[in-house]
Amino acid sequence: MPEGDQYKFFLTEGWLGLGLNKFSASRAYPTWMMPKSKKYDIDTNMYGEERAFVVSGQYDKVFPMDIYPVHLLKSIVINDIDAMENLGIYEVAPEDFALCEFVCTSKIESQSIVRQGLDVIREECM
Amino acid sequence: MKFLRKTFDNAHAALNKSEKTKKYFPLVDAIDTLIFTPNHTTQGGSHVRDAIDLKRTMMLVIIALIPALLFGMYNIGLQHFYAQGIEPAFFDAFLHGALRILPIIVVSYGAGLGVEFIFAIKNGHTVHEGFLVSGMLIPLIMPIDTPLWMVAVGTVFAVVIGKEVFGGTGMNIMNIALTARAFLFFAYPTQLSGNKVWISGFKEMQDNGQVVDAVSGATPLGDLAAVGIAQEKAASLMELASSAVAEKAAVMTEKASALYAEADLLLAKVPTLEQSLLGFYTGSVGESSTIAILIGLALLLQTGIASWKVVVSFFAGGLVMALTFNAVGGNGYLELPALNQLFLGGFMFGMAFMITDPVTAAQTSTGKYIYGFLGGFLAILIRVVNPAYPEGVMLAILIANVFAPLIDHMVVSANIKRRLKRVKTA
Repeated sequence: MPEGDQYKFFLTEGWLGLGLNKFSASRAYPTWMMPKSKKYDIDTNMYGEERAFVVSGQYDKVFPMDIYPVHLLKSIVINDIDAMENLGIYEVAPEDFALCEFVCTSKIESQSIVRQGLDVIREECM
Repeated sequence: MKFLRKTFDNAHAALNKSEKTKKYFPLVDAIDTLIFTPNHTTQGGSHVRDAIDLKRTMMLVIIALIPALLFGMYNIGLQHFYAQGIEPAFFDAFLHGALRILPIIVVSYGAGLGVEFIFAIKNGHTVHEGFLVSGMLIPLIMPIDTPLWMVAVGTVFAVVIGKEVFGGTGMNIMNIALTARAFLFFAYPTQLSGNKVWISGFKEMQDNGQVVDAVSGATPLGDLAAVGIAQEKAASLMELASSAVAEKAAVMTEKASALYAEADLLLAKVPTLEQSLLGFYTGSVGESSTIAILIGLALLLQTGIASWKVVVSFFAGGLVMALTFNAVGGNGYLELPALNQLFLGGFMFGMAFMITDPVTAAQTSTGKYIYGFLGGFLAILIRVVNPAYPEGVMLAILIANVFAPLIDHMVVSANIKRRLKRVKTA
């Protein structure tokens, strides 16, 4: 997979471009109307900078378990063990958040946050 | 393109040369990331990322606001000329409106982004996008004759107290644009409400005697509130008259019928359903045309930026309250057909652009239904029951914002309980 470490001018390739070849789970790019067989050139660019959680309901769509992923992540970030346990940290692995990480508008590294949470739990509770 | 890139690289390098200038990096960074999507690559976790980011999300909201903005420009000009009894050409009206609205937009962006930059430099982080949308919303929800310095004061207040105090974009509890408006509404009530602020240059024209007699300058909601008050007064007069001596009773009945006649005149001026769909009447800049707002809302719903759950439940909440008032009846305001009620004033604008703000809305999907319903329900309740607050929508959404975390808390607690039960039975 190409590295994708080049700058992208906003109107052509970047964030405000038409984006006819942008792969996205959201419908903010017109590619959601295109056939599923369309092939994309993907790279490892982040396509944006990390921000606080803004858009809601995005994770729930790709998270199959009966858990509130964003609330769980927030409880890990503030290091609240009780909340983590209640919100279901024992039922998840970092990989469960891979899709959340992919769709995230705010580019939050959910997998490493979950890893960190699990490490804390292991240290404190085992 | 390469030249631009080089300029930014040089600027970054120049700033990084000394510790003193290093902290000013947000100034360059903000413009740089606006023009170029940064070259950051994934470090761990998923190595492919969705192409969407916050900038595009915010920009789509601004695009969704454009129909309401353009219509607002035309309508402001139109009302300005109508007040003088002139039928303006399309271009004259649009030009007048544009020239009145553009300064407000410039001031709102200038003041808000100024504060954002100061905080970014002080806290050493990049400038976040949140204000891009707020900066456009603020001009659209102001009466056109709001002095520019007031817009600036309100914006600065909203960004500092409403957002930065809580930690910046994504952390605020209440909608920034509505915080600005609510602040100004309570701090300078004479400039933000009443009959003289909704038509551009109304006070001046009135002083010069240019205003036609038929134009009072009030918004339809202002008229409706007056209808409610007049009819209730008349009704209580009639009641008094029934127990008073004949002489007094005659005077009272006469007064009451005068009030009824006045109310009927005002009622006749209230836009019909069709007129409120089109939106050629007085009001805040962007709120009057239901059609323009619905075009924007369609874009927001299609892209998934606005949650349809919130939108639908907000509308349902308003509808239930309005139908309840219809059933109760009593005066012209309460008996206004429900749909008509919802299409007037800021209700549709609030439904499309305010209640849907994902940061201040409930985050859980069940919570969204409750949150939206609460907002819509309160909006009509406040608007109709308290004639002093024709803009009940603003207050209702702010109240719903405050309740959103509580709603979420209850939904999440229910989820925790349900899951714990499952653990125990297993």
